[in-house]
Amino acid sequence: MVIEFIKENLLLFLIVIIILLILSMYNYLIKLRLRVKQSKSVIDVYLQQRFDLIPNLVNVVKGYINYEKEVLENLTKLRMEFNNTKNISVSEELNNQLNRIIIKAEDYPDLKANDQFLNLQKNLAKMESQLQAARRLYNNDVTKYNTKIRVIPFNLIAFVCGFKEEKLFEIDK
Amino acid sequence: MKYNNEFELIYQNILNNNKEDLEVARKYARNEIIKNVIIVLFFLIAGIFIYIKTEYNIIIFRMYLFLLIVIYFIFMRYRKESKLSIYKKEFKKRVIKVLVDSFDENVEYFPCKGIDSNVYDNAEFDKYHSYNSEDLIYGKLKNDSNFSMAEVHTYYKTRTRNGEYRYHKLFFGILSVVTTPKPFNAKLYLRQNKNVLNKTFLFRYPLGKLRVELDSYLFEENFDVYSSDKIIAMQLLTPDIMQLLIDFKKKMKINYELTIKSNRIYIRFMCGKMFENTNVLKFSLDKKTLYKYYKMIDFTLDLSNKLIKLINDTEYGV
Repeated sequence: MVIEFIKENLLLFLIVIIILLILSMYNYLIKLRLRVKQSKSVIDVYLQQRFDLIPNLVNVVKGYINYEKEVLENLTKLRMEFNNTKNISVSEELNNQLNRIIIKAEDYPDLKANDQFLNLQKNLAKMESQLQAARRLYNNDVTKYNTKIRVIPFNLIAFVCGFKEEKLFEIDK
Repeated sequence: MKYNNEFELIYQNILNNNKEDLEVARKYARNEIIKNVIIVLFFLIAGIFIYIKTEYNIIIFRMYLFLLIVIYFIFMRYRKESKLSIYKKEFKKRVIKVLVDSFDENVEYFPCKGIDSNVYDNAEFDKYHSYNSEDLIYGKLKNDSNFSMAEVHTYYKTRTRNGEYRYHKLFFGILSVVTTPKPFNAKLYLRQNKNVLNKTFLFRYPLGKLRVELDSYLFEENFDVYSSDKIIAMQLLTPDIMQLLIDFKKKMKINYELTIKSNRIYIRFMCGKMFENTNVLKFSLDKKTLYKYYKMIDFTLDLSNKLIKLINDTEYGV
């Protein structure tokens, strides 16, 4: 009885199938895009956690590195700027400054032996590892999403519904 | 196949000290098997001859079979240890023990002991109906981890139309377990790519929702990764570790799976029966076979050391 019904209304049946397919493809692209956003927010969380250690670092280091006072002040300013703007280039500059201070600390044996500083260094290294993992996940999700919106037939849905390519996380040259 | 210098030294050491004795034991075992085959064939031909000569008299034939059964039971009751059994024991004592000692003097070999089934269950490899383990290698390593490795056999059962249970092979291979000095606060599972057409697929633990896709196409072709924490999975499965895992699989052509849970790293190798050189027709110290044993132990220790270091770095900082 069902088969007869389908035979009589074949065109209608095909239209329904096509609509369902289009909807499922659209939903799939939405899921991929949301996954990319989620991965990006995970990177932001880890970056924020890392930069939240800056005040502690400045307090520990300033007792030892007196003549680098400007560097420490600059670091604090950059952190405030990042908190306000969430600018990627600011976060990269902040990261670079942080790494420079850690490297500079190698020249101060007293600072290197300080327990608080060692703890901070440990935490920063741990967060750096988490950040790298988060970036790999993000790039993975972006690649999957960008590939999907380029292949047929998803590219048709992407074109009609305005799905745009996302940028991969890359290190500045 | 190229063998590394370390293995060559170990192999030469085993060869120089054990070749003659093992070859003698192997030949005795081989001759015993040939003798048994000849005896069986003799009785079979005698039975057929009697059956034909007595003009297909079924009663006389049945009496002959009954006599054979009685002789068989008497033989089994009073026979001494078979030469094959002696050869296997000699092989384990002389070859496997020396191989194990070359890695760490603190590691011991126990041919009659195995890894407990609870340990295997913790790794969540598969759900079985019957479990057996033997040939345990166990000890404390220089980095304070406990290391154990043993042959494991698991079986699943099916019911026939008559209501009888039949057991089928599920997993035959080696299980290695290394404890980590500090606990691991997530779960990581590395499995061979799913093959839904394989019967053993039904007995695997369902991990589907924990799937993590890695950023290496080659790695994804060989393994499926599942984890309760994607970030930690990425931290542990660095490009170096992924390369190590792929290289071992491609070079040694052995499939394996990995679980990291609480404070243990479990690796199971799908390599069949390993620590028994039952092929008495082959030279007892076959280099290729020994190299497989060597590489499995070496890979387990190397991978565990690297993973332990990464676990310490990721969970507790450098």
